[in-house]
Amino acid sequence: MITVRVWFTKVNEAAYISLLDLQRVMGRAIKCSRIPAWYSLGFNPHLYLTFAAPLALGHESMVESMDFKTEAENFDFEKAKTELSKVMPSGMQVLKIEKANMPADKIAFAKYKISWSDENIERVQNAINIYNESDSAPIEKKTKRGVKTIDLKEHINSIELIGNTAVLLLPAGNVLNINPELLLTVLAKNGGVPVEDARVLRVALLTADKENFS
Amino acid sequence: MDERLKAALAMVQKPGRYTAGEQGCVFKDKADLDLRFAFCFPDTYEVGMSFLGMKILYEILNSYPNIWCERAFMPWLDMKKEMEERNIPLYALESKDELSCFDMVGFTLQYELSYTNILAMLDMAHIPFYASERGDGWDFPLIVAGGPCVCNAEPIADFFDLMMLGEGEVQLADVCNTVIECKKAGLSKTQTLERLYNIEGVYIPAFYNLEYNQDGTVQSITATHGAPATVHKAIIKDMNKQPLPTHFVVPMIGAVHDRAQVEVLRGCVRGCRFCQAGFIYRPMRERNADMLSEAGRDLCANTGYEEISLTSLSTSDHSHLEPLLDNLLSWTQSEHVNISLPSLRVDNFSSSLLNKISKVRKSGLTFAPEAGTQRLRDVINKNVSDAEIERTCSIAFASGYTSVKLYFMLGLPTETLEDIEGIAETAQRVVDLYYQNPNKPRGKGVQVSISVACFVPKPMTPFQYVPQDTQDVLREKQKHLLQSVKSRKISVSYHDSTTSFLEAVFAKGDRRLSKVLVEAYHRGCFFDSWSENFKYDTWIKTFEDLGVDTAFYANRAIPLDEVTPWSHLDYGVSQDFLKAEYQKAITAAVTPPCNRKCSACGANKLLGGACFDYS
Repeated sequence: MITVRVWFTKVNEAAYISLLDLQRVMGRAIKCSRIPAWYSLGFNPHLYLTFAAPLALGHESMVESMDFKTEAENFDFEKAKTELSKVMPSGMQVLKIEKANMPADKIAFAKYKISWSDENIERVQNAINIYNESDSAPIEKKTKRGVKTIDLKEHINSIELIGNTAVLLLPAGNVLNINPELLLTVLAKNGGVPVEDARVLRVALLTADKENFS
Repeated sequence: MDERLKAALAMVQKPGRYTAGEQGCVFKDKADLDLRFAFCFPDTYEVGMSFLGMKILYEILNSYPNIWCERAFMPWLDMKKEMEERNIPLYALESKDELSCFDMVGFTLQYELSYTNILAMLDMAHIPFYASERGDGWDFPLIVAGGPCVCNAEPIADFFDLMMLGEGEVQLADVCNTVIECKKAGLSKTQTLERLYNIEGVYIPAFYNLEYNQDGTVQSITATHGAPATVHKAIIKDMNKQPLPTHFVVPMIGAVHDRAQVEVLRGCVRGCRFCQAGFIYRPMRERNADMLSEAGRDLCANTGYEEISLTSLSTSDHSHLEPLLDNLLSWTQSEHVNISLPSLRVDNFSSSLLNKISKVRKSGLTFAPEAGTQRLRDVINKNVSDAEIERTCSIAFASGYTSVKLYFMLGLPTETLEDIEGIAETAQRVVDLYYQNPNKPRGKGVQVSISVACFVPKPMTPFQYVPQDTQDVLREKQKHLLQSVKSRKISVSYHDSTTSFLEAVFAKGDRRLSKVLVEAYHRGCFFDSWSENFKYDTWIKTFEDLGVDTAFYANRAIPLDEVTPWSHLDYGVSQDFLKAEYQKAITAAVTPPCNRKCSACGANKLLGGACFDYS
């Protein structure tokens, strides 16, 4: 049995599919595509699908991955890509299907592109300047074990705005995961724009050595 | 998607309700189109996406290359607020284009308490409420309606250019194609409507004048513009010639009913006298088992659904149900598909049937005796006996079921306190039966839930003449029921009588109620079927302020010779039959199911011959 990894985008309409719903959506897509995925045994056989580094609702991504298992000998990756592509919802494009290389716990960082509209950009630049000049940027982060305060400056010292876009590298592992919205909240407090006016696009998942997760 | 919409979506719960792009969702090039149709469900996405009728008509309309049918739902409270604050008009999900630029906007009328949501949706689309305010040109879309409530949608008739009675599969496509022709020929809206009424089931409210008597009752309904005096519903004569939809739009956020559905039959043979669906969908017509199984298989393959439901008003009345199940079971297990049977009846429930369902999944069992005593069940023509209820529960318990849900109604015609005690006694007998079963699972108790609704008299039924119990009486009855239940194994839940009351007012209402709806909407009433947004006091105040007597509509007995606001609408069943059934009801005389003996309701004229082979 091998683990197959599907790489796909999650943009536009698809950004609004929650993780729970994504499980169901992809389960049905796998079923419609008739890819020989492995079903659990027992009274109610079902697919096992795992998603690495779940994306926040409303964010877009070019690097989503989903794993499933197969018992098929000579699993045809190209054919699987063709068939799955036919049944994906809008905004979800299959980029590549391959044998999983690394386990998902190798993911340590995620790279995001954050962008704003022209009319907001001046306010955003001012808020970024305040951030860059400050000594600390404390923010409350909700975790399963309650609320704790973290200092964003420990993770991002300065932000550079190129045109309308800032690129951020944030921890995205099992131990620590920082949602870019925390930074957007700080910028909003610095006199920037409301969180909902920024667009978040995830462009890479990286290991602790800053290698591409594969 | 534009930036304003993205910002709004970032602020609301379940943004997936407002984005579309689901698998099976249809996109078209606007350059190829002659007509754009917005199919509107006046409730949330999750409710609307459960509705089979929308899936049927979506597939049919989109099969025409020059028609694009899209969907719109009522945005939830948070999204409505965001859209209004950000000046985003109501849009159709697929194209995100606002509704006002469509050629036709169609609402499905499934229940009376969604009427204010229609106004909310029109308001959010910047479309004037009253048809008379929309002019005779094509500045606004043609606003149309279909669905069961059309059988008396007089309270909202003034808002619509056109309503459609009966089954939409053929009729709606005919209407759309006629609109295309008329628009191409440069006809005005009125000229177009004058052509449209020739299509079976098409009702143009503006072409009917109502005169009222001094006492508020209807004196006469007169057709104008050459429209037919009586509108007859459209019907699919042979269900085996009407293909089933095989490409559902598969919702990505969980709908209420999120599964494949095959409609095994339409109509119902039973003739329960309270049931509007049982009368307006007559006669009962089945589909054959092979066709159903094949369509179900295609549907599951196209959607990826792992559950298939055999849908109808009374699925166990299908004459070939067991062969159908065998046919389905030949592929469902290898495809990991479960079968569910939503509407089983107590009287033809066999253990082999039960085995076939339980091959897949064991959940609770649900039955609807509706009334607590045999006498009252005879009054409502729910031909189910105590012995049958007991037999069914025994079979179920013997196969390992431990929970049973029983549905009843309070406030049925001729009901006495004894009938109410009978509800508690019926539930108690079910509990006792469980403990008499020698094979009952060790250490596991039984749970009998009784769910009690308030009876709402509906138009087009034999009980249309009957007044609804007042709320005081209904509350007394609920109290009496609670006192009659002695066992802790029985749990009782009941409906709020205030919503049932409002439902009764609008179910038998007339055109004078349109102004109440508009005023109540302006005062904040919409999503009335959602308890978190139901504003009963506002409703009552609105009726009072506008001088409209609710008791006239809900709590008044209608004499058999009165002209009802819906007497110009014909669903096949004759008014004489409804009267005769009402008179039989009072004497607790039953009428047999139509497949056993024809009772001459009149609906066979729709098929042009007998509904069943009685030989």
